[in-house]
Amino acid sequence: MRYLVIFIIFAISFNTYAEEIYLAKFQTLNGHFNGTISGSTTFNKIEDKLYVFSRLFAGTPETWHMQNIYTGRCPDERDDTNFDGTIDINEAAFVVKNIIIPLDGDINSQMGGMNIYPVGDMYGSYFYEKEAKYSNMMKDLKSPDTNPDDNIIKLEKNEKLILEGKVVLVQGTSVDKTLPIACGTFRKIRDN
Amino acid sequence: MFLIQMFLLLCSLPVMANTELITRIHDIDYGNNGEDTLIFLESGHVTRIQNKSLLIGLDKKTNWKFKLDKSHRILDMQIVDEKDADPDLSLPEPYNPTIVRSGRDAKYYFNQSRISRGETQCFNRAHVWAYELWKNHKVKSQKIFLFFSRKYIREHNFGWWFHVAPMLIVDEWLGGKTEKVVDPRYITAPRGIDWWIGKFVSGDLECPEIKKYSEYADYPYSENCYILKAPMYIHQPLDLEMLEVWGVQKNDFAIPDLEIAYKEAFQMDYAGELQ
Repeated sequence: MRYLVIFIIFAISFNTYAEEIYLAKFQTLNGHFNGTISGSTTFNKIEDKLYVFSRLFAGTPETWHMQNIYTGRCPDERDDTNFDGTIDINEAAFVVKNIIIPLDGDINSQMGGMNIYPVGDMYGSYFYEKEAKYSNMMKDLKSPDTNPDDNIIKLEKNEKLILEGKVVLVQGTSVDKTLPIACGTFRKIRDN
Repeated sequence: MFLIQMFLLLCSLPVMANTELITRIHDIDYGNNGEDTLIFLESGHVTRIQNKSLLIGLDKKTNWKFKLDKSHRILDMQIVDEKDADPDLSLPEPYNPTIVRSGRDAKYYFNQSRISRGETQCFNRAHVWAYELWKNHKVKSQKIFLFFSRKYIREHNFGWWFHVAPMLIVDEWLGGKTEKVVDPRYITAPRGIDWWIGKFVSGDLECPEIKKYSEYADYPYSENCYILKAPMYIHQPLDLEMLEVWGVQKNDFAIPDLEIAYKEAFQMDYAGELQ
């Protein structure tokens, strides 16, 4: 009996600290505009709490950076379909596909905090950190798509959110707000 | 204040001496009518070259080690083996710190360290201490950085994201070598790393050692803290990031760093080379 109680307590405490961490390390895109930049996005889920952290080093100064999680893959030089030496947003959009989570002013919902994206400091770096309730985010992701014509999509009713393999695309230089500058693919680094 | 330091450091970059970096070639613009050929590097640098015969054999899939002057002209370039270009080898040139002869010598150096009063930045204090260890005693120390994760900062309502101090390698009279941190602001004698960490981290938390800045920055929720050992020339975390991302390596004390460090940490001007 005593062992059973200990086991139950252990099992409960184990579940209490269930934690998943995903990391997407950025690769530079269009480095001839911006030089090599670095950074990453980390997605940390602890029970029903969600922390998302992004950092970018050495973008152009005081620049607005759209950053979203997409369902496709990161673009590379093969996707420069017009061979002009630049992967523009149209070429990138073809392979990153749809937005599932905008990393904007509010990650509890896709539309909340819309277009509130981080702005780099005078050295071109930013740190972005948002906290959300995972259940709120999932509820929103499974709600009806009020604008099916845009590239922001919802999950199906029984579909799980699988972050592994999804990508973060970061855009924006001082002269072109839409230019893709970095992209990273999520990999799971912890799953307790 | 930290932002001001970073700004001044960035402003000082163009006046720094020769730069060495390992990177690939992004593109080549051959120019017209005797113009210099421009080589665009993946690091973001644009370099110039006049001798076009040097361009034979350049390819974009090879890692090159470039030595550039302050105008970004190529002084030297060599192919780098893949193993040398491994990003895990984040310090391209080996750094060999001095082995201090005894704990007694380490204590003597510690006691010679300038006293810093009031609210000052740890990286500026550490830089002056390291510089004076070198100039006064010819001791090549290391810097030890202690980075606190977002997780730790959040859970402990902690007020710093990093701390740094010089560190000595000491030849012990009973045999072997030990690492002793020199941080007179917080400890009264050269102490081991764990002792020093214990001054800042509550409980018996272990701080894993990392080799690259990104191993801290990319894992804000994975550990509580990390330590990173670096050459004495590294002034602040920005230097670690520039080294890792662009291969910009400091092989000497940069005068702008020293001017900033003396002024902020000790309210005095950097007096040039100490005798």
